[in-house]
Amino acid sequence: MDKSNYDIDEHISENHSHCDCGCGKLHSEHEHHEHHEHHEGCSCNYEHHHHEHEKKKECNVSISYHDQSVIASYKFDINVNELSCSNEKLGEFLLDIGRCVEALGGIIGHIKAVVCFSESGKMLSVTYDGEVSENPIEIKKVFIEGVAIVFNVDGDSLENIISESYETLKNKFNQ
Amino acid sequence: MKILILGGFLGSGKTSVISQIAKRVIGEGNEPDKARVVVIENEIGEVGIDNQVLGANGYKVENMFSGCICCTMGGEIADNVKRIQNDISPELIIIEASGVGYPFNIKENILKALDVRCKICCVIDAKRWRRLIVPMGMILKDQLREVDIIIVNKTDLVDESEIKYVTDTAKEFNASAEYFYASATQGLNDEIIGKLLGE
Repeated sequence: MDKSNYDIDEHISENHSHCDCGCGKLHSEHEHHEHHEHHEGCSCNYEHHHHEHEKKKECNVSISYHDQSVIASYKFDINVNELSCSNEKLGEFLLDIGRCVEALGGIIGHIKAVVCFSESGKMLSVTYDGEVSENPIEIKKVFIEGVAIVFNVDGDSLENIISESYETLKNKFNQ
Repeated sequence: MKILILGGFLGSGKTSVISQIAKRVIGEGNEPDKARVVVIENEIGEVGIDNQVLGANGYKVENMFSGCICCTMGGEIADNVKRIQNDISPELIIIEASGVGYPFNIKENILKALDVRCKICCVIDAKRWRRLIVPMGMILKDQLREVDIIIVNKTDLVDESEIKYVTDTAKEFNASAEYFYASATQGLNDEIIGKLLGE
């Protein structure tokens, strides 16, 4: 690099500034990806790359295997209006999984969940003036994490069963 | 320091048994000495459940997740026991095997590295035993191998003839163990706890 003509602002603009498209990538990182033309109205002077933003799963299920067993570990949370109505629906969620496993000819080892209830939270904010401001907010939420260990069912099927049971549960809470 | 390895198939009631034993050892006074018992929880899933149940009751719990201490994490269990012995020196370490783990293998893994007293107890779910014995027979048989004490649990949920069936078929797998009968959620009697603690 010819240091005599080196422009630090230009260097930052080209290499360390984030793309205006909101993808979270640095401009410099774009060079490593396939490029295409800007979308209309974009103020950035760089060509955009194409990349997929992976959609965050609402119900996170991971599958593992041990001996003859298939193990699904899952985590999710749901916003609810009333916490008092949660127990029956959450119990039904576990029963749902069990029924589907048995319908496929599987054997239930156990299906367990730990459920945490929240009625309130707070918003914390820092604006670089040396202090953290906070505001209480009402958040009614259930946090669920659990494990299903079953036999004679393949991992993909178990993952689908849990994801579908989660959708059913979510719909019940949204009714 | 004593070590009690608690095995048994998924859902047999191991955690309920552990709660009863731990409560007995630490006492129920105003200031129970919770460091007298350490529970090592082995769960093969990424999410721990039983550790949260025991931890919520105030017991000291060490977690070993995402693997089985009878096989894939066999080397780590001896290291953890050694560390607990040095750092905490409890009166009793209770090792809860995963519901698909083989307690005798865990004992072997520990005794390879340590000279300690090690007893194995296995819990049987009387209500589900008949249903599991054919499809899960090999696992159930291997879980009962070389076990010292067998607790036939959930006897309140079955009748006498079913308890006899469970006992007879379990004895085909292990005839030398001492058999006890209980409903762990309703409490273990002094005789069973005394046996488990080697009193």
